[in-house]
Amino acid sequence: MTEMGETNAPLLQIEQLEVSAGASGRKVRILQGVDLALRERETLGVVGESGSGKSTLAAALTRLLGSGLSITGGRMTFAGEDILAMSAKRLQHLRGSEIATILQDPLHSLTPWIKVGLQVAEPAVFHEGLSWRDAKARAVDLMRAAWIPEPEQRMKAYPHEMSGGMRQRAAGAIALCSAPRLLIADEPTTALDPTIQLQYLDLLRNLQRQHGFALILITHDLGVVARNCQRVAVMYGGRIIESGPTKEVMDNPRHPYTRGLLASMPRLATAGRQQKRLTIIPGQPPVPGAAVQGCAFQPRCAERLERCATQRPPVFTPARGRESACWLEENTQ
Amino acid sequence: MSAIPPTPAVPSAPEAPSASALIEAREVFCHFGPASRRVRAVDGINLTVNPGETLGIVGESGCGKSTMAKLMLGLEKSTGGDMLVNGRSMSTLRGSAYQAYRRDVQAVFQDPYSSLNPRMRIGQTMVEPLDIHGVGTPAERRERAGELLSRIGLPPDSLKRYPHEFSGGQRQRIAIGRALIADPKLIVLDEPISALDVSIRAQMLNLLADLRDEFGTGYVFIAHDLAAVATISDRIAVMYLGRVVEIGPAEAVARSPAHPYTRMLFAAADPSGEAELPRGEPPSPIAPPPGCRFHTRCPFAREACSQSDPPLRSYNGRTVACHFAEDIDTPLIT
Repeated sequence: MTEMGETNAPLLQIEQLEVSAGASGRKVRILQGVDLALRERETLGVVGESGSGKSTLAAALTRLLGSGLSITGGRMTFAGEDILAMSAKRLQHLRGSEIATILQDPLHSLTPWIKVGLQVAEPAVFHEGLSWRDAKARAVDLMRAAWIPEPEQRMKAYPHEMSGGMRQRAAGAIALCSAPRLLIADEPTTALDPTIQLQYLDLLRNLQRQHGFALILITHDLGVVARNCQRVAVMYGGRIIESGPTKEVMDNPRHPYTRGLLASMPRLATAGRQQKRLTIIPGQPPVPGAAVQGCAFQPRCAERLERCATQRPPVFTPARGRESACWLEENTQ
Repeated sequence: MSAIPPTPAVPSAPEAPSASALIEAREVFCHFGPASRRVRAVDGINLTVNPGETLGIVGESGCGKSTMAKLMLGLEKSTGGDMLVNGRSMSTLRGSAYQAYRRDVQAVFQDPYSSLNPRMRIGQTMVEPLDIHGVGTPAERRERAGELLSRIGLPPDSLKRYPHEFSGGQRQRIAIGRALIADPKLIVLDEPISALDVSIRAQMLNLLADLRDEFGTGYVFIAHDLAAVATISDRIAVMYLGRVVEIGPAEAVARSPAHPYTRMLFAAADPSGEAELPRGEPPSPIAPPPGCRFHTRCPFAREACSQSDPPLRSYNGRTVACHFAEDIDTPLIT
């Protein structure tokens, strides 16, 4: 009883993932000790600033790391199958067919000289061997489901003839064409206006309800996570430093970085020339791959202890479902 | 109900034209391109920036807010109407009056990676405005740059270094320092924080607020991040398709918006709120809809909205261009 019996087994399981850059002699770690589990149909938000490793994590999931980066440790399984042991052929099927990805910039993720309809239909031909005629019929349905008006006409349009929001919805339709079990959306709304962002996230939720895929939403925007994700993982300096149910993390953040981030967000309720200054996190985020002995956040942390500079904090479990990689949790265990 | 309610409209002078305004836009138009595909980026705007105040400008991409910034900076010429600085038309400024205007109105742009010359040391970059305007001796200029450096939170040895040695947040501080050094009356900041990391944005907002208090500089603050705009601004102007649809005190506009478009924008920015989702996307500024430009996306639109263009009028402590502001008025945040 391995696959079918374990109904509670996660769809995606990552243990102690490590990604490094450079040759073995002068290796720098971009990601380290990343643990993550995702169930079928679950929505997980991964939040972090630039250089925190969130996009590297997304690329590592389908082993699409850029040149110079390689997975140097850990385990990753998808539906019980070891991703790191997959052949090139198996990986090609996994990508796009079982795990689909939406990237930040829809202008660059669509091919400019190929009609959008063909791009939406292609995965079904490539992965499932559908005829172009059937695939195009499916593409029209998917584009309609992705709220693209007049999909029959838009099939013949080129990407530059569409607005940014519509291109991003087309990218969503492409991702869904082969009915993936997991969708990774890497900053899918960052290039869009706030109002269009909301529409897009609403669309993703809607499609998720219809198609039943699991979703990993990667973003720098805590507001996006608050609205859309059941669970959240906060990344800093190449590690997940806090994770838990979104509402609990937002209402009661445990890691000093998460707390600082939430406190420093300007709020509409304080509109008007500010009477008191915003709470800030001093300093700057670390450069990716910087050699860190202790906690990566320690130089900016107001609550640091002596050991934080030298000993890397392990992941503590302060409450059910909550995790925080901070020495302050040691006594709350 | 399609009748337009009687309104105490003030059609052509939505804001009392103040003699003391630093910058004033009077029925300003800025169109681009050939007649067949004319982009109406700014399409009849009245706006004032008073000395020492911070005016926030918000709106979706393509609404004309960056064109407005360029008009204020003299980087773009209006194709209709008049841009005034200290009561004088910008287009008539010559010689020393033009120089004074260029010194008084400075700019900070979005991308700190492309707005600093990579081959110039920070010291040269910061001193350049003083060189151009011939302020002080070279020694005094360097001294001034050194003083400012500590105010913007950079280490004292920075003057000798090059932009690539600094992070994005630090570069933006340098850009702010350069804008401030010649003691301007106004700094136009076009998306100054959107390229920065989340944890750096609050630092930058605090710095801008401190510098404003210390030097008495006014800001025009343009950003996507509505909460940031609301936090730093005295007044907020909301733009849609080349027009101002609402303008008023930041508190009033952010907490109880009167225009349906403002409601939509601010509801979308509030993570705790259940947002009223906007319909569709902004229409093209080449062919704005007839009547109220927002009626194609407005959840409250009625027949009258597609027929007559609502003028800006005073309502509930701000100025708004909506026929039915009274009917939809409920605060977003109490």
